[in-house]
Amino acid sequence: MIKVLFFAKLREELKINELDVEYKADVASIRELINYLRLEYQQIDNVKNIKAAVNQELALDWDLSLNDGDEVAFFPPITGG
Amino acid sequence: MVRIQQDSFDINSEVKNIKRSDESGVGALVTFVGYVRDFKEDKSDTLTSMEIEFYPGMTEKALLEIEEKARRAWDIFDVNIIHRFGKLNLNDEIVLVAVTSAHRTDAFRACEFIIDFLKTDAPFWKKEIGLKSESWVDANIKDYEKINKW
Repeated sequence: MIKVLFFAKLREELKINELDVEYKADVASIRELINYLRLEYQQIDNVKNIKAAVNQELALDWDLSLNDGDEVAFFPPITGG
Repeated sequence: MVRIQQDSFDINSEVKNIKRSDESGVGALVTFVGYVRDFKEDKSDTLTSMEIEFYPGMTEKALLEIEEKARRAWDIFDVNIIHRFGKLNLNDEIVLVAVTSAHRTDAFRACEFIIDFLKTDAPFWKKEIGLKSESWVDANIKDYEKINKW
């Protein structure tokens, strides 16, 4: 399983905080994962410049391979401080 | 030290915590405090409060990494970073960064470095709540330009 988390505007658009996605060969990178999620949650495209983190580290390369058990978060650009 | 909390903080007691009277080597203490201000782009609306969200676990790690980078770059003693979350009202304090050092230059530079990177690397998101509407704050390109200068 891959644990998927959403934050801020993305969480509100999708009306979901987190979900589990079955880990399989065609959902094995960040890009493949978000494309898979888009099938059910087209509202993903309402948020611009989405960022991703894998196991709580910012992930710039969306072709990075995911592993079973990973935690992947998607969120809009950071606006703290 | 890094703290993420809903409650407000008292600047005076935080300053006393970081600059203990038994520390004789501290020659400088620099603090930055960020407040909720009315900066809604829609001038026909007035900001009344703000909601701040964060990513439990990742946000703390990101702040500790920023502190570590500052420690490697400058000669500093103690660092205190506090960031609030949840509902904050206009004029409430959002964030505190306090740094002690033997000399002012290291304390100033490290404090500015920490708040600059906090704005781009620590996962917090702000939502502005006005009298008429509410909206998530867009990332500020100027914050990213500042980072490139370090």
